[in-house]
Amino acid sequence: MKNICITKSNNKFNNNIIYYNQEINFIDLDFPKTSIYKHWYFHQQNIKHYIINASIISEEIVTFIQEFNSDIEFIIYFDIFSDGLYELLQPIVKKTIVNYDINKENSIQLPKYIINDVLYTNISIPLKKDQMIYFIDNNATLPLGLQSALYPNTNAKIKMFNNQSVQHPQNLGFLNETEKKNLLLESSTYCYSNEEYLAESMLCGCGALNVTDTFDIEQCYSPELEYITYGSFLKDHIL
Amino acid sequence: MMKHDVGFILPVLENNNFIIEICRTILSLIDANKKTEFCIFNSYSELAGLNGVPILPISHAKYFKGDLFVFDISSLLIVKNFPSVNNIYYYAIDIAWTSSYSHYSEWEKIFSKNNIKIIANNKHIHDIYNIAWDNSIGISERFEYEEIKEFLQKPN
Repeated sequence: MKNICITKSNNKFNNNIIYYNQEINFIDLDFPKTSIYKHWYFHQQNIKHYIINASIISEEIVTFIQEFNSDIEFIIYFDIFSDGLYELLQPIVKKTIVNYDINKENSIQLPKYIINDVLYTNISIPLKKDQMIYFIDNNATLPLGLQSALYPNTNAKIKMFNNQSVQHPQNLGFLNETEKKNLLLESSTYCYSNEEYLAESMLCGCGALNVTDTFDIEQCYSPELEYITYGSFLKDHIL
Repeated sequence: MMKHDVGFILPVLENNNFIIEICRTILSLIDANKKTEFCIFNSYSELAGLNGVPILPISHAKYFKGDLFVFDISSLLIVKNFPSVNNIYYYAIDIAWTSSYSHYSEWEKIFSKNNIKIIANNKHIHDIYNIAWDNSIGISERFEYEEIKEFLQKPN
């Protein structure tokens, strides 16, 4: 079994690929709490693969990569993208992964619609609750359309999750990926501004509503789209 | 007529207007419902002269059969799994999850139980609990006897 060290990070890619632990032993890298050197020596230098998020790159990590890039396979996932960091790292690491909206010739592009087929398999859709959900995740602010429908503007049953810095009584707490799936299954409507869970909402039988600029329940629709899985992505690019 | 006996979890009976109002309401309930048992479960009291209200040690609450009133989240966490409790009325004066942001599943375990009913201190709290959990049964700004009597007499 491969030992792969992956950045501990609250984003969809990191949170989902750790479910594929049948063939991969994922080890958390909780940086900057842990020095990457100390982490590697603690694991007795048994880690030969690192998936590191661009958002945590520091001088220490760059030095570590430069020192060990002939012994260790480094994959940099650009959860945040900057040309400068890309130009610095792309030549010295094995692979780079960018999000769907970034075009870089020598990088692996993460598709827009990609789902966790460990979680979203053999789905049985229960009776839906009349409620709408929105995953705040890493968005710093709420979209205008959604704000117009929140209390006290309306009493619409909208529940939000997963970002402590957004202060609102309809923000109900943290979620892991399994809990997100359970909420999609039980909810009638998935509200979105960045389509991140649109494919999952489709599989869970939700209506979808874009709340970026407006909140118009008449615009709720059933999405139909194609997607790939993290399983196939891992097989094609990482394993 | 009350359907069940009624207990009030008040770990500390402080000498303040809110607690005095609660006790006044309890006394009115006792006067109007001779066939129903009412009691307070308490650890420490600063109040004197609470005649006519049975006060039991808080450790006895887990054996209580009937409806329970709680007034803070800590008490709600303790009583929610009591085996013989019927309805739990949580008198909410704030929105619990806004002061302590944690995992959604922790709040869901508490507030999705069918026998937990919120009585809100104001309309804002009433609306938010209904948006989030659909479990607020009404508003009582000062925990007055007439309002609490109505809640207790509603069908389940």
